[in-house]
Amino acid sequence: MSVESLRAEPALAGWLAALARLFVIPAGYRDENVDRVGALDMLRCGPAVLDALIRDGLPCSGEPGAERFDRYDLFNLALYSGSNSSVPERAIQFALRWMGKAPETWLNPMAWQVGIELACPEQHGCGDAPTWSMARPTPEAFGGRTIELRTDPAGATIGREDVTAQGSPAFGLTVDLETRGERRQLRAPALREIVDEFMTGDWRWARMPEELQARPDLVLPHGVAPCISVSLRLAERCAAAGFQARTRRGWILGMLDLAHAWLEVVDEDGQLKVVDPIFAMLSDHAVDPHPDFRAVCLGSRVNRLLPSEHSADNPLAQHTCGGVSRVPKKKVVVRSGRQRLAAQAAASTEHAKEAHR
Amino acid sequence: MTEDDKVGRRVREIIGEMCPLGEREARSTDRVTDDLGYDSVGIVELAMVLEQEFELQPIDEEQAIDIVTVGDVEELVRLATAAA
Repeated sequence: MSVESLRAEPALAGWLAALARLFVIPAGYRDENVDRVGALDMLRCGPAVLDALIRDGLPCSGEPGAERFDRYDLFNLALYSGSNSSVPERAIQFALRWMGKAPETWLNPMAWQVGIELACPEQHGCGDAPTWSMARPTPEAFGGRTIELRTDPAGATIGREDVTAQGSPAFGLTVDLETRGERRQLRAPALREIVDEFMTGDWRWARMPEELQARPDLVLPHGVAPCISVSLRLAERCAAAGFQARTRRGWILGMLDLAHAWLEVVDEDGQLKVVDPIFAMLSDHAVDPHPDFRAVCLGSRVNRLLPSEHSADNPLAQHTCGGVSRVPKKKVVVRSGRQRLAAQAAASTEHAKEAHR
Repeated sequence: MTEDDKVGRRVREIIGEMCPLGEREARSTDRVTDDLGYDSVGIVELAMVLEQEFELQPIDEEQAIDIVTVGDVEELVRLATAAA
C-alpha cells in the first residue's frame, strides 16, 4: 500500500490529526523506553500506520525498525486518534462507564479495598538504609471513613499525612475504606467566573510525568491540561481573587491506576467545594456520560475520589536508598469492598445464630 | 457438555489466548493477575473481548474490579449470559 493511499484512509487521517496536535513530552522529562512491539501493542494501528506516523514526526530514537518511543507520547497520541481500537481509548472508555450511570451512584457510600505497593526502581536492587513514604489515604476528608489500614511489613509509622517505613526492600499498604459523595454547587460569581473561564477554553487532558505536571508554565501554554498543572493554576487564580483555596492529591477509584489532583476552595457560603475540571474533561472520553456529570465536577464531592492530605505538587510516594532519593515504582490495586462486607455479614449472621442457640 | 461448561471452556480459551505471558492453557483456579500476568488494562481488554464474543451487555466495572481467578471470570460471564 502506498503512503498516498494510506494517507487517504480515514483511520490514518485520525492518527495524523492527533499527531499534529500532540504535546510532545519535552527533553529532560521524556523516557523513550517503549520498543516498536510495545508501541504497536498500545496503538493497535498496524505497522504501516506506525511507519507513516514516524515519517510525519512522531518522536522516537533508534534505527528504523528498532525505534523507541516515550510511553506518554504514545498514550496521548492514541487517546485523540479516534481509532476506537487503541488500548488507551478502550481502557479509558471502560474505566469511565460509571460516568453514564444515575447521579446518585456518584454520591452514595461505596466500600473499597485499596492496595498500594512501592518498589525500588534501581535495576541492581535497593540500596542501603531504604526509607519509604506513602501519602495516607484519607477518605475522612470527604466524609468517608478508614475501616482498617495494614502495612507490609507491619510496624510502619502511620501519621496523619503519611505512612512511613524504613529498612525493608519494598513497602505495601492496604486500606479498607468507605467513600461517599455530596452534591454541592459553586455560588460566588467571581469563583464561577474563574472556573467557567477555564472550562470554556480549548484544553485537552493528557498524561505526563508528575514532575512536568508540577510546572504549569511548561504545560498549559500548549493547550494541554493535566490535573496537577490545572489545579495549581486554578488555586493561584482563586487565591488572587480572595478565596481560601488549596490543591489536593489523591486517587481515582476504579479499574485503572490513576493518581489525581484537584482544587478545593471555600465558597461564599462557607462550604468547601471540590473543583475538578479534569474529571469533567475526562468524561469527553466516556461513552454516553450522564448529562449532569460535568456540573457535578464543579463543586461536588464524588465517591470515586480518594483524597490524601498532600497538595498537588507534593508526590504521593517517596523512597530513598543508598543516600539517594528516588521515585519509587508504584502499583495500585483497587477492589470493591463488597466481598469484605459479604464476609462480615456472613460472620454476623453466624454469630447471631450462635447466640440464639 | 452443558451450556455452562461450554461457556466456561470458551472463557478459559480466550483468557489463555490473550495471556500477557504468552498463549497458554488457563485453569479455573489460576489467578488472573498473579499467575497469568494480566494488569488492569489487560483485564479491561479481556472484558471487552468477552462482551463481544458472548454478545453481553456492557460488563460493569464494579464487577470486573473484583476478578481474582479465571473461575471468577467464568462465573461473571455465566451470570451475564443467563441474564441476557
